[in-house]
Amino acid sequence: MLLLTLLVAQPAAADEMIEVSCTQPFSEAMMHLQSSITGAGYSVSRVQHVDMGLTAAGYATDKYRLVFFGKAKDILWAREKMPELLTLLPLKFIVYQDGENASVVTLDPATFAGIYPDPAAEHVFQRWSTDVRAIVEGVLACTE
Amino acid sequence: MKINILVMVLFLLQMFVPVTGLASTTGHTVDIQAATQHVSTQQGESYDTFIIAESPYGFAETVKQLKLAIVANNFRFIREQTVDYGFVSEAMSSDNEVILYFCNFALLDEALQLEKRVGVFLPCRITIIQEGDTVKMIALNPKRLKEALFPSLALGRMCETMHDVYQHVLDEAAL
Repeated sequence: MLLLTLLVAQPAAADEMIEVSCTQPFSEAMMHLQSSITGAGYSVSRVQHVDMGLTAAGYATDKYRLVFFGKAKDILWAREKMPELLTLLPLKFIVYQDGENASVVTLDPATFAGIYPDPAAEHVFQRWSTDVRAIVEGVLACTE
Repeated sequence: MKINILVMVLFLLQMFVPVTGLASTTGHTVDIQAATQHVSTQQGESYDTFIIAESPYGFAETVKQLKLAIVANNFRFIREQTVDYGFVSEAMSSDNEVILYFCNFALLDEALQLEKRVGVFLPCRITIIQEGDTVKMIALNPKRLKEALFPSLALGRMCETMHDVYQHVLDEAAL
């Protein structure tokens, strides 16, 4: 039986990070994440193999990937209304091997309000936050 | 009487001429205050959310100068992509916003030893945006991210370093 743990009690950054740790193999975690992202109506624009770059540069590392995702309409919205917010897009997950587990982590987009406290942006940050949590729940559901 | 009038004039000038929020970047003065969110914290520390510089060049030349500055600061240029890459068709893509990604693997390795979740900051990036005749180079301020989002993560010195890197790269690219 797979042991899945939703980590919400990290003392350092409990409110800022949304983090899931599961015992499924890394490749399956990646697959489930991407499937959950598209299932939530988002597109995966790129997967960056940070581990490969590090290894090529001579640094030993476990598997470590960045999964960039987003929606065209959000890019268009930011472009038109608040171009500085383009620096926050696309959104991303990090997925890394953590011992026997695969960890899936992202910054809670709701926290963007802390660095960009514009009322016009807050509902968008909240929507992203809700969607990101649904994506993470989707990852868990895939593995149960 | 004349002195009183002079004091009054100076006072009025002070009210209407912004003397804060102006950052001189190699001779190009950019009104950062107008373009950034400046938030005070309970601790009293506060940094601008964005590091912004206005380029003296056109868009393509700005991209070129940034790439040179990235390498000159011992970072490896990773890739250039439009902000909407992967979300719209190539025909619909806008060339007015481009992201430059870059990395220093030694620094990255060091950061990962401190905190695995540092990936939420990765990769280093500068966004170049054309607004009318103006080309802006924008980076998220690592000091602000640390202050607002990760006050207890062991990344303080790293964020200071990265802030300085961004500032140097933007300064050099605007030369």
